[in-house]
Amino acid sequence: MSAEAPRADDHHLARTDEAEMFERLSRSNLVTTWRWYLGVGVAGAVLLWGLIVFLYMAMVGMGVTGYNKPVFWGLYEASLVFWIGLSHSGTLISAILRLTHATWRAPVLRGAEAMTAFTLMVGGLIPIVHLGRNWRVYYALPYPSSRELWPNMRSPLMWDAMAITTYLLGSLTFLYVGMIPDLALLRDKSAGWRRKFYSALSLGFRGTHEQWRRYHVASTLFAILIIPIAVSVHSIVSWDFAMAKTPGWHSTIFAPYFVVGAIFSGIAGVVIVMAILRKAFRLESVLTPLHFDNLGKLLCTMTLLWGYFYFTEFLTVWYNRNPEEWEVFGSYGGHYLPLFLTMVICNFVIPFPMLCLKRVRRSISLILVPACSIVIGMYAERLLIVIPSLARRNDPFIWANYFPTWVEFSVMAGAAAMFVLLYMLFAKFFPIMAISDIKERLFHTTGRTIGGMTVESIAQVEGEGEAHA
Amino acid sequence: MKHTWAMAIDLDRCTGCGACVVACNAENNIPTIGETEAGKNRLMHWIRVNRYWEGEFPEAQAVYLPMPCMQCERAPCELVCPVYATYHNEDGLNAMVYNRCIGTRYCANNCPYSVRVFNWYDYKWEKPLDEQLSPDLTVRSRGVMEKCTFCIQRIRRAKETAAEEGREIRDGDVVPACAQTCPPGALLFGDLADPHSEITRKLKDPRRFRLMEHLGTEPRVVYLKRQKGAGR
Amino acid sequence: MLDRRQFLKLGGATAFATLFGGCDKVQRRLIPFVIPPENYTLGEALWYASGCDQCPAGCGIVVRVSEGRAKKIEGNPLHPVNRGKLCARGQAALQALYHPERFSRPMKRSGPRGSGAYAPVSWEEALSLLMEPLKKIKAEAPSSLLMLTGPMRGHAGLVAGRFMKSFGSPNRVAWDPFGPDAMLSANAAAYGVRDLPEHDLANARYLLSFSGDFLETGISPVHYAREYGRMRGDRETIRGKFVHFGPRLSMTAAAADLFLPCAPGTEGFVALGIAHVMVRDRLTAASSAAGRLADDLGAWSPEEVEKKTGVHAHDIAAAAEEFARNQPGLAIAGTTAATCADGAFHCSAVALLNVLAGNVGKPGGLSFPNRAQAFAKYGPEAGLLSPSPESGYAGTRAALEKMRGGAFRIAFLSGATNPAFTLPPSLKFGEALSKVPFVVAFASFLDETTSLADLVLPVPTALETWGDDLAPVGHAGAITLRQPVVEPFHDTRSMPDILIAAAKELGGEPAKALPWGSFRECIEKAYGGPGGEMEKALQRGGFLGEASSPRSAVRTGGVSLPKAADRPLEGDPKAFPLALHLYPSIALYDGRGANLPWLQEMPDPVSTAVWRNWIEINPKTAAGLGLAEGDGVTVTSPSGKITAHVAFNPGIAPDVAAMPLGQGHTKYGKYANGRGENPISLLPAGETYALQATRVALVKTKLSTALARTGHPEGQWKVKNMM
Repeated sequence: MSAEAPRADDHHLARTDEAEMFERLSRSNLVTTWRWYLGVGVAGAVLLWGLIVFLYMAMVGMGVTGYNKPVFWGLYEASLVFWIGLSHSGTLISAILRLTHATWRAPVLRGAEAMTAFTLMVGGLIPIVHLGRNWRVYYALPYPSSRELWPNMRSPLMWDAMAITTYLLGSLTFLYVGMIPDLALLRDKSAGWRRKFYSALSLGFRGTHEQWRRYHVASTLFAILIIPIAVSVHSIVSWDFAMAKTPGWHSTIFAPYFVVGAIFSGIAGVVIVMAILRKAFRLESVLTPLHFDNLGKLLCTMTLLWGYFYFTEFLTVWYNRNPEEWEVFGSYGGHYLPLFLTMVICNFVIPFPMLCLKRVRRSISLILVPACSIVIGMYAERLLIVIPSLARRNDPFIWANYFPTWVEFSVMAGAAAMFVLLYMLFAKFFPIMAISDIKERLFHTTGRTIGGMTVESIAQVEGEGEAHA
Repeated sequence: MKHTWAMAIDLDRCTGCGACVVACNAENNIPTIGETEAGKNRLMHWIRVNRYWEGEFPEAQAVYLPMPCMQCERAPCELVCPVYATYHNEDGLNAMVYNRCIGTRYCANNCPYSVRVFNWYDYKWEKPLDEQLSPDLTVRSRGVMEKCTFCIQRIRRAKETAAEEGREIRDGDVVPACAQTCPPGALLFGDLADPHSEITRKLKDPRRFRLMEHLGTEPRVVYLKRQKGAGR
Repeated sequence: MLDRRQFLKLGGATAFATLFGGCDKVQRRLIPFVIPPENYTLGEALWYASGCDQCPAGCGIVVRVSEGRAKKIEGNPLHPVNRGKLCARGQAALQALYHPERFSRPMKRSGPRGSGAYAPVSWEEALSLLMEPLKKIKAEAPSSLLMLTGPMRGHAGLVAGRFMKSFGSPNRVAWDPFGPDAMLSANAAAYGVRDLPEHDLANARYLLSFSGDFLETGISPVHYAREYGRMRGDRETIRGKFVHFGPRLSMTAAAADLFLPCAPGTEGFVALGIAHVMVRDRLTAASSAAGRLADDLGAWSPEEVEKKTGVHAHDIAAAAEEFARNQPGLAIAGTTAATCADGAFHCSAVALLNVLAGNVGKPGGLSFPNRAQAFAKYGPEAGLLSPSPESGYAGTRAALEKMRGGAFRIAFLSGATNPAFTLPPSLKFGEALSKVPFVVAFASFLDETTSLADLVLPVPTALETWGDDLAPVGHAGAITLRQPVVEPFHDTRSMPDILIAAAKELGGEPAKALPWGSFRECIEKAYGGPGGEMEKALQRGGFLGEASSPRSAVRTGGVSLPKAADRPLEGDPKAFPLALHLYPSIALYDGRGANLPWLQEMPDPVSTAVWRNWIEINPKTAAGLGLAEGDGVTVTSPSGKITAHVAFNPGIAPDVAAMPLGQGHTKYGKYANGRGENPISLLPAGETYALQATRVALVKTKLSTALARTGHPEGQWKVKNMM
C-alpha cells in the first residue's frame, strides 16, 4: 500500500501542475464510466421499488408491516435514528476539524458534508413514512389553518421535526458555502450548460481578496454554529424516546449517549464513503492512508466512549433492578439475544482491538472491517433501543415480539438507495473534493527532510485569508 | 357543572367473563379482525381482561385484571401527540379526535397501560353486519389511533337529557357499556365530583389502588383489591 | 308555491348569507367538533324489551333501535333473572340478526344430502312442498312425523306440543346438550323435587362448589354471576367465602377464595368426605338426617377421601367445619360434575351437604319455586309451556333407533342445539337421519344439522319474533315476553307461525288445536291482547312482578346415601394416560355462538385464545411430553382422534387434559368452519350424555395452523409487575 502513497513532494503546490491536479480531483465530474450508470440504475430501481411499496402501505394500511400492539414502532424508527446518526459524521467532523485547523482534513471535508446532507434527507423522510396517515402530515405543520390549531409544541416529535429541519438547512448551507470557490473553479473550467449551471451556483465568486476573506469568515462562523446544532439534533432525537414513560427509554443518559453513538456511526460511515470515493474516482493520491489512520484513531476513541456509555447505562439498571426496566434488559438475554450479541460484537469486540493496531488503521481494506462492523452494530443498537422497550411494556400480559415484514425491508432498502442515488448524482455534478481547501493546504505544506525521512510540515499563517490573493 | 368521571373496578367481584369486551364492541363500533390478525396481537378491543397465572399446581391461581383506558389525570399520551389528536376535555377525560390523528402512534408508546389500539387497516363490516353500527360514533379509518372513551356518547346523551329536563345529571345517569353489562357488578362508573355518588362512597374503601401509581399518571380508573377469606 | 321571482330573491338572500355570514365568525376554539354545539342532538333511539335466546337461561333484554335497526342489546333492569346484566353471548345476538350468512328465503335441497347445496324457492312453493307429504302421512301414518327441536318454552312449546298431539304423533323430542339431567334426578332423590332449585347466593355466607361452572356456562350464568357479585360485595360486614373443588382451574374456580383440585370424576367423594366430617363432628343442623347417615358415611373419612380424590384430608375437614359454621351456606354441583358418567351420584352427594346444613327453604339457602304455577291456567298442558329442563338424551337416542328402523317419514328439525354437531358421532345422527325420506329444518343458519334437510324454512331470530318464556332459574315466577324489536330483516316466518298455518291447512283436529291466525294472535290472546295488561307488560319486558310461592313439598328428612356407580373412563390408563375433561365454552356455549365474530374474537378467560379451540394441560404434563405452548398435538381416545393446539393451565391436574366445546364446525359458515376440530368426536356413545367419559393420549404433531392468544407465554406469569 505504501507504494501507492504519493511522496509528500508531489503535494507541494510549487511542484504540482494545477491543471493536472484539477483533473485528478475532479475526475468524478469529468469522467463518467459505465459503472456510474449501472450504480445509478440499480439505486434508482431499488428506490422506485421502495416508493411503490411505500405507496402500497399507505393505500392498504400499516397492517402490512410487522407492527403490532405494543410494538408500535420498529424498523422505521430505528432506521430514522440510524440515518440521523450517520449524518453526524460530516458536518460535525468537518466543523470541528475546520475550527481546530486539523491539517489533514481537506480531502475528507466535502464527502463527509455531503453525506450529512443526504443522510438527513433520507432520515427526515422516515417520520413521514412511518405515519399511519401520511397524507395528513401537514397537520403537524404550524400553518394558519381554519381551525387555528397549532401543533403541540410539547411533543418531542415536534422538537424532532424542527431539529432535523434546522440541521438539514444548516448542513446544506455549510456544504454550499464551502463549495463556492470550487464551483467557481468548475465554472471557469467548463463550457455549455455546465458553465451556466456553475455560474449561477458560484454566485459570482472570482477569488478576490475580499471574497476570500468573507468566505473564510462565513465558513468559520458556520462551523461554530453547526456544532451546537449537531449536538442538539441527536439529543432531541434521543428525547423522542427518553421523554417517553417507556421503560428502557426513559433515561437521562440517552441524549449524550445518542450523540456519541451518532458520531461513532457517522465516522464509520465516513470511512466507508471515503474508501469508496477513493476507489471509484482514483483519489489515491489525495485520500491517503494518513487520513484513514486519523479517522481510525477517532473511531477508536468513539468505540471506547460508546462502550463506556453503554456500560454505565447497563450498570444503573442492573444495580437498581427496577422490575419494569429489568424486563427490557432481560429480553436482551432472551428473545433479543441475537440482536444484542450483534451489537456488542460489531460495536466493540471487533472494532476496538482492530483499531488499536496501526497496521489496520493504515490499510484501507482492513479498516473497512471495523467500519462496516460498526455501521451494522449501530443499526442493531438502534433496533435494540426501539424494539425491546416496546415489546416488554409495563404490562407483561400484552408482551409481543416484532419482526419486520418485506414491506419495512423494501421501504428501508429504498431509503438506502435514495442515499446512494443522491450521493452519486452529487458526485457527478458537484466537486466531491474540496479543491480549494486542498490547494490551501498544499500551499501551507512543505516537505522537509529530517534524517532519511520526508515529513510534511506546515507554515501556519497568521491572519488567514490575507495569505491568499 | 364540572364532572370528575371515574371508574371503580372491584377485583373481588370480577370473574373475567368477558361480557364487558363484547358489550364494548357493540357500543363502540369496534371491528373484528379475524384469526390471522389476532395472531399478530392486533385485537381492537378497547377493554381487555388480562389473565395472569400465579403459582404452581395445586396452588395455581388465575388473576383477572380488566384494562380499559385509565383516563389519566396527567395523561402521558396527551403530551406527546404532535397534532393534539388526543387531549384533555373539560370533564377531565382523554378525548381522541380521530380526524386530527396522523398516526404517529407515539401516544400508544407512551401509554404505560398499553390500552390504545391502532387501525392497521380500514376494517370492513361485511354486509349486512354494518347495520349494527351505532350512529352515535364514527367508524375509524386506517392509520388512526383509538381507545376507550368511557362511552363519551353516553355521557353526552345524559347531559342532553338532563339539560332538556332542566336538572343536573344524577348518579347513575351515565353508565358505560362495560359497566352496564358486567354480570357480577365489578365495574362501577360515576362522578367523583358528586360527594353523594355511589362511586365516591365505594372509593373510600381501603382496598383501593391504582395501577402503576409510581408513574404519576393519576388514573381515573381505580381498582379494589381482591379480598381473602370470609367477612370484611 | 314558489314563483321565479321569489326563487331568485331567496336564492340571492341565501347566497348573501352564505358569503358574508361566514365572515364574522372566526373559530376561536381549539377542537370545535369534539364538543358539539348545544343544539346538535343525536338521533332519537328507542329501547324495546324482549327476551334473549342465546342460551336456555332466559334473560330479559332491552334493545336499542335507531332508524329501524337494532344497535345494542342490554339486560333488562326489571327482569328478575339478570337485572340489567347480560353476558357476552347475549350482547352478540345482534350479530345473529345481521349475519351475512342468514337464510333470507326458503331453500330447497339441490345437491345430495349433507352437501349444503340449496336453491332458493318461494314461500308458496316451500309450503306446498311441506304440506303435500304432511297431508299424506296425516292420512296414512301420523306417528311417522318426528319433531326434533331444542328446548321450547312458553307458547311456542304449546303450539309445537298441540300440533304434534293433534297430528297424532307422539314423537316430539327436545335435545339440549347441557340439560341438567343428573341434577334433576339428584334433586328428586335428595329434596323430593325433580326440578332446579333457586340458590340464594346473595345471602349465603359460604359457598362450596363442585366443578360448578355457574359463573360461565351453568344453567343461568348471568343470574348466578350477579348473585355471586352480591354475595361478595353487597353486604356491609359479610363477604361470602367461596371454595371450589374440581379437576381444572376454570374461570369460576379462579373466582374462588380457595381452589382445591380433585381428581376428575371424584367431586361426589369430596362431598361425602365433607358430609362425613359434618356428621362426625356434629356440625349438622338436620340431626335426624345426620343420625340416619352416620353409619353409611363412616367409610368416607377424609383420609379415605384423600386417597380417592387427591384433596388433602385437612382441607376437607377445614372446608366441612367452615361450611357448617358459616351458615347459611350453599353447596353447588356444576355441569362438569353432572356430565360425568355417574353425574347423578355427584349431584346427590353435593345435595346431601345442603340437606345436612339444613339450608333448604331458608334465605341464603335453596328453594324450589313452583314452575308450573306461572302457566297454571293450562292445567295438564302447563308442562308444554314450562318443561323441565332435561337434555332429552334418552328420547333422542330412542328417536335415532326408530329412524334407523324407518319409522319416520317426515322429520322437523329446529332449534340451535345442532344434534349433528353436539351428539357423539358414534350415535351416527346423519346416517340415521338419512333414513327419513323428508327432512324439514326451521333454521336461521346452515349448520351441520340443517345441511341434512331437504327443505329449509328460514325463521326469524329472537329479536324479530313474538314469544314468551319462563327462565329455568331466577325467574321468581316472571314470564318474559318477546316482541319483534325490528321489522323482520329477511323474508322469514317463525316455526309456530308455520305450524299454525299448516294446522289450518290440515284442518280437523290440528286446526281446532291451533285456533289462531298467527303466533302473535296466540300470544295476545294468552296475555290479554293489545290495550290491556299486555301492552304494559311488553314495555316492561314481560309479567315480571309475579312472585311465585315456593313449592311446599320439599322433603328433607328421608335422604339416603347416594351410591357411586363405578363407571371408569373409557380407555386403558396406560395407553391413554390423560382423563379428558370437556366443558362448554363461555363464548360459544354448545357451539351455536361459533358463527358470531364477536364471540370468536372474545379471548377465552382461561386460555386467552381466540378463533380456535385448544387443549389445556398442566405445564408439567407438557414438559413430560416435550410440548410447548401453542404446539400441535393429536388427541386420541378409544373412540376418535382430533388435533388441537396446546395451551397451558397451571391449575389443571397433571393427569387431565381439558378441551372447550363449541369449535370444530364444518358447515356453520365461514366464521365457524375450520377452527379446530370437534372434541365431541372423542366421546363414546353412552347411556347418558357424559362429557367426562374417556381418556386420551397426546402426541406432538405439526399443524399448519397457529393458536392466537392475547396473553404472552412469559408475561402472563408476571402479575407482580402489575400489582
